[in-house]
Amino acid sequence: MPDCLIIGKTNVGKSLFLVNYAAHLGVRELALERRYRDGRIEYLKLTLTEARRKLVDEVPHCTRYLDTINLLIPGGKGKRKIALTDSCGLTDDIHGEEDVRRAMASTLARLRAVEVVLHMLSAPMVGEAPPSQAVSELDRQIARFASLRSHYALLANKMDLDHAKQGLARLQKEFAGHRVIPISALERQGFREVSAFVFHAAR
Amino acid sequence: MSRNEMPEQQAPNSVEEVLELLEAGSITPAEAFELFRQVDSVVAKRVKASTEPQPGLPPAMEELDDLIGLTSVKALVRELQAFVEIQRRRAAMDLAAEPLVLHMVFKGNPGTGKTTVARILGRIFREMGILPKGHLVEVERADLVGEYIGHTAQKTREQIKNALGGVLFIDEAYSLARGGEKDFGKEAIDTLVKAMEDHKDHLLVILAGYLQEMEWFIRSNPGLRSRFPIHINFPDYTVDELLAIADQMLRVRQYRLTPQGREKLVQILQERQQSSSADKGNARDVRNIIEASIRRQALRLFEKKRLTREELIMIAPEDIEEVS
Ligand SMILES: Nc1nc2c(ncn2[C@@H]2O[C@H](COP(=O)(O)OP(=O)(O)O)[C@@H](O)[C@H]2O)c(=O)[nH]1
Ligand SMILES: [Mg+2]
Repeated sequence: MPDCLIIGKTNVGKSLFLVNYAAHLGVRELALERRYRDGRIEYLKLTLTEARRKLVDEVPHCTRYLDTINLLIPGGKGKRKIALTDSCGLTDDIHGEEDVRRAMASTLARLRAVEVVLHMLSAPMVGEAPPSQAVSELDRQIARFASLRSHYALLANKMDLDHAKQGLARLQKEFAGHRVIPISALERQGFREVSAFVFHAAR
Repeated sequence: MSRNEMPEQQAPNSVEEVLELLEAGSITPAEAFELFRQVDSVVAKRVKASTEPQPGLPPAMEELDDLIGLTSVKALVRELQAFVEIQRRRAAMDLAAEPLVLHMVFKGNPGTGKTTVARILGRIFREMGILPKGHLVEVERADLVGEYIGHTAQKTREQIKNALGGVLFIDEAYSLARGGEKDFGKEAIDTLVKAMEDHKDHLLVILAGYLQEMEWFIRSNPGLRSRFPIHINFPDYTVDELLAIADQMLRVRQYRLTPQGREKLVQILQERQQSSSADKGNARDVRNIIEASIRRQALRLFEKKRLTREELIMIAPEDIEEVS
């Protein structure tokens, strides 16, 4: 079964996407496989509301492990099974907490092994920033690294917010040559395009 | 964080070391990516060096490596290479050697690299000493199937004779089973199977075609299944891969896309990808688009008196058109 990883900076909406995308695909209860850097695995069952409350947070870095769920992605002829993993957000700087740094290391280790990468950015953040700082070195590195090894798409999230359009335009320019999919994890927009991409990549 | 703030240290030797630096708080995630690339290129060189001793092997192997994408094919060839070498060494020490059955089924849409890979494989196998000549004879149903009883066997044997010492590549092989029991296609298959027995060490047969059709074909011909142990899937190219193919094709011809030209090409490729036709991930069409764009660029520049080097190199959006 192909592995698909959601990667990106902290707070771009990775975890909310995981929950709402699963909901969009008809999942009622999330069966999570949670992996810690030391190899420990935990299995959790969460309702969608619980998942939103526990996984999505205003406080950055709440995801300190790799949470994986199995999904059936609909496509042209039938469905394809994938394992979708939410990861710890990455930061531009060296993070002060060891726990978080360990989680980032697991994220990168996982990135090296997966077939499909969904690289998430916040479109309004990109749109609001001064042009020279709109896209960070970290996001460039992710794109460069992942697109050579895996099926790779950029998810421009939070399209429901102000400045998102401008952000999307910038992303399309900065990452010309890559697939950029505008979405709103909150309002569940763009999920069909995500499915089309993942379905194709998961063959 | 800038590079020079990074503490002085030895370049890491492994991925695990990079991850440890990240955990220890010595590097940022962005720097980890930079180090990954260093480590990976060192490893790639090491792997290459360890496969080097085979005289004459590198050229065809490198050609395969240079193909965009096709990771599973590349991995398989490395595997075969190791297998062949070890069987040879076992034989040298009088240990039982596994027989080499290398007949293959290539499954995938048109334009996904099947013929190209078959041609390169032939050369690799010659360089490895598995095939004496390694050339490729590409045939389809019409080249094998005749019009009356006996004609088919004769035509098929003729093509097999041409391919001896190399690769017989049968495109859209499933069509040999198209007409059912009474069809002459069956006669071609029988002749082929017999020839494979007779010329065990001198012939490699590759059956190619669409994924589903080929799976059905092999399933409905039990005799073929055991004789074709190696199956390779050729997935459609992704947009990124098609773009890389376009870039590579232009690079060797000393052309380049302008940024807008690149955007236009991406747009065309993405639109194709959205469509559900079987040839959306098709490298052949990219080749046609690129070749047409080179001709259109010439037409665009033809009337101009003065031309810079830059202008002669660059492919602009107006040069790029979808070909049908
Ligand atoms: N308006 C809006 N907010 C979002 C969207 N996606 C995520 N958020 C919010 O962004 C914050 C961070 O989301 P989270 O999923 O925890 O981000 P993560 O760190 O990438 O996992 C939360 O407050 C979410 O509610 C979106 O599409 N639109
Ligand atoms: Mg999270």
